[in-house]
Amino acid sequence: MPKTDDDAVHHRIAVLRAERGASRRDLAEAVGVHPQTIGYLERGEYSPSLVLALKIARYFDLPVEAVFSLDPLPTLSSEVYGRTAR
Amino acid sequence: MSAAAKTRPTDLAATFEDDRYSWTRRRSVRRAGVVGEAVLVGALALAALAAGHGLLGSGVFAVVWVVGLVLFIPLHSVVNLGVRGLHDRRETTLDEVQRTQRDRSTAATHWPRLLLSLLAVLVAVQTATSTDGAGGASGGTAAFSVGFVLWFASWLTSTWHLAWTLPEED
Repeated sequence: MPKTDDDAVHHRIAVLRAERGASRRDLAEAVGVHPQTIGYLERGEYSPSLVLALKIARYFDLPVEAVFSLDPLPTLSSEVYGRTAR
Repeated sequence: MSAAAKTRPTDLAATFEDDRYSWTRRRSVRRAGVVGEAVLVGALALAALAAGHGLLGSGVFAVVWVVGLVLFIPLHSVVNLGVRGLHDRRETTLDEVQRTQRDRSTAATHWPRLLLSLLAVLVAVQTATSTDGAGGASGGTAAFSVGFVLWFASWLTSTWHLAWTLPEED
């Protein structure tokens, strides 16, 4: 679990998983972790190791910085339509 | 060793991951199991102390201990299934989160385990060197039993910590 907010790793795992139609189990099996671990990552209860982050990025065929960030990632609506959440 | 063989789960790991036991992984069940084990261990210690002070006959003491230890087996099975056996499984069957959770509990309970182990050793030394313990031979048996309970509790603390603190699964 991240010790402080500064340690938090922001990510798009759930969005990407939904977009690709992949279940937690699919992703977990592909990157060699327990499905519950994907849940911990998605809920922000655990920050992944560099190896795990790279494996997840490779699974989605994206650069790691597109999936993980130290800063909050922009929402899909703001990226696509330039709108911010109210 | 091939990668497939290296990552193949053992029978033990497969049992801990079996979905039939998912009910044991609910936080309420895990915590109830920890409380149950703590009460049971406390009762065994009290029975030993009572026997040492002559408040409990040796026959009753023996029955209480046998029943208590037999009850411990299913109770600990539930607790251990609830934490997916993180302390008992082969390292290669755990992922990085599971290793972190296990190591965090081991580290968090370092001092309590050390204290309980030290107390167990002190009781053992006292028992071994005592020539006229309370109640004679039964007093020695009682002291030995208290030492055993302390050692037993020291062995359980990290599993209790894990079962108590693991987040709710979904």
